[in-house]
Amino acid sequence: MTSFPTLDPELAAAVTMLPNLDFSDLPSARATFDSLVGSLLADLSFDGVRVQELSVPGLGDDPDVGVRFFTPENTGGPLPVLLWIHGGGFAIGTAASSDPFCVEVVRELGCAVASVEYRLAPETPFPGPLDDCYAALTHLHAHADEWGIDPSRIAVGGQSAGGGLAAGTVLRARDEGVVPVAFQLLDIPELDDRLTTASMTTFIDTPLWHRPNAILSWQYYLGASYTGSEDPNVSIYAAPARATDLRGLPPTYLCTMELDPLRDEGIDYALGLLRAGISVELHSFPGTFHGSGLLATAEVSKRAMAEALDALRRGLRVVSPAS
Amino acid sequence: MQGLMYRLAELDADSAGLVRVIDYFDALVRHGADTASMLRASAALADCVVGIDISGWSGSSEPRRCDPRGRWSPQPRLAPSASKDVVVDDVVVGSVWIERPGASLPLDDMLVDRMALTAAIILQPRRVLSDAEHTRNLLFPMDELAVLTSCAALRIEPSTPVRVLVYTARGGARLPLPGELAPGRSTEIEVDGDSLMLLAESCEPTKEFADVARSRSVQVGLSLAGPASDANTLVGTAKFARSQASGLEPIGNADDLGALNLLVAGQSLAHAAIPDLVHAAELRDSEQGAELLATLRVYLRSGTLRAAAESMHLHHSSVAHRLTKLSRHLGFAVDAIENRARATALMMVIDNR
Repeated sequence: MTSFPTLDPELAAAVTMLPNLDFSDLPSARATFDSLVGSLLADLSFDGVRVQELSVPGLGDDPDVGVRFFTPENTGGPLPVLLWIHGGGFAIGTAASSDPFCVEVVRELGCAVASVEYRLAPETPFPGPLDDCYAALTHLHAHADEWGIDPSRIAVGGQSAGGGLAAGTVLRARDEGVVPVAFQLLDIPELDDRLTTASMTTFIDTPLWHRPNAILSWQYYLGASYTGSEDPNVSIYAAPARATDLRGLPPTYLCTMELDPLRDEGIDYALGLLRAGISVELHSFPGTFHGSGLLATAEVSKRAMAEALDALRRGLRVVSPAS
Repeated sequence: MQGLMYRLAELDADSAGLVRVIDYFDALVRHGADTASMLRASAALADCVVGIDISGWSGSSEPRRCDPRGRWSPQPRLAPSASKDVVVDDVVVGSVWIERPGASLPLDDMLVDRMALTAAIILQPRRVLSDAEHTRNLLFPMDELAVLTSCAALRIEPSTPVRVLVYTARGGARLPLPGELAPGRSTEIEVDGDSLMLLAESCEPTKEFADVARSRSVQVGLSLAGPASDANTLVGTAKFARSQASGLEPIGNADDLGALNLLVAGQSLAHAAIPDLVHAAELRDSEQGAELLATLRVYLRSGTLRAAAESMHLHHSSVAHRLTKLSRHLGFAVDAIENRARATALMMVIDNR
């Protein structure tokens, strides 16, 4: 493997202990991911946080969509809420794999988090996964009273493929005009199936995410009818980078990682939003790679986490941080 | 919360596991870690509290402790379960330790060893060894740990099968061997007038290579194959093979010397490294194979096909047929005059069991 001299020392050490997530062998990629997440969750404390496993009706004939709903144990009045969409290249991961993040958000901000159990590709290609996220968003908004949330303070966020689903969900919310999304949090988002940016063509063997995985990820997500990066029929809700009109979207926090093939499509999307008059905070973290935030103890990971929480705090207009 | 990273408890305490621990700390050094990031990374890998006290190096520095979540000065403070002195320029400047509750892990000692070494390198930066120096350390190691350290630095799994190639260096004129044949980051090195390099087990010198060697009157030796962690034991067989090369046949292959490799002085070679002995051992397990070997034994003692046939009450063409069959199994002509010593050595070794 190429050595990446700019890699942060703590992350460089961690790279030597990373599993191999090969998207060409999905069953083993899923098993590896699940076993590592399992040991991660075994250590997780839910002190002060209430977790409920709820569900909302799917769109049309779709099955119900699971939602892990996190709230502070002691709370009064309607809460601002983050609709959170986990990552995993559209093909792996579970809502529970984001529990550490969701718990942290509830503790630090005192808001609610609804983490969506969307169906995965390739078993369910687009639009299924996006429909699940959108169903969760519209249901939360329509039933804000029952859920104890403030319908004017809904943020949508996600990581990696979840960041792409978040951006797609927010575009659709804008177009359908039913749910006013207050803020979007796009963490290392996967936005562009065309795979032509400099980072996407250069990073062919970076840790965790690289061009070969990215190619497979879009093939799984866009399904059998997808003809590749030249395909003119890809929906902007599937690949938000293809959207040409970004006006009317909510304020955005977007972060990218230096040694991530998704870096440039993230930065391009942020620039597009800025040019469309949207307020954007963009942060590219040095010495990092895609998913390096999962190595939560590294100093740069802590900085990135603190930054995202701070942006979300302002985006959801959380007045005083929970103690 | 280490997410996607394997931790110490999940590593096997074999040489591959040791190499991963070495590699983990080497990566910290290569990427310019300070003591704080070294401690956080150590705690993350160990999955328990770690500490350092280097007040002997800098009187102003307080002992520091860190937990697996990167928090400083965690409570409670346990007695160290393993510790190691930090030595800079032969002076003990302090120590590192881990506080593992419950039973120790097999790799805990290795971990504190690497913590101490890494701390010493951070406190007094040393020159990082080159790939050539690591290759030299692999072929001529001080001890077992040096082998694994070199494997880690060269990006070679210790179990990777390799061979050693040797030829006489004459004023630096190198033979044109493509670099990609060398496993990992290993390079060609020169030691006491010999050029040496590691090759992947499967690669064979091309005809072009042999032609160049012949035209330059350079004799080349190719060792037996073995795991990279045993590369040092292969060097002798490469030199032995070279000694049997000639102007016409400039490349000597240790595989072709069979059990004669055991003549290499000062080496204890595993019989499993010698293909002739492996094949013969397989044959001996079947009745028919044992019969073929018995035929060779008689043939070598009696000297001719006719004499062998006579003592075995067989027709001489039957003896010839059996020897041809045996040659096919062993991969060399057992009845050819130039292979007499090789065949005899084979029989001497297997009869000595």
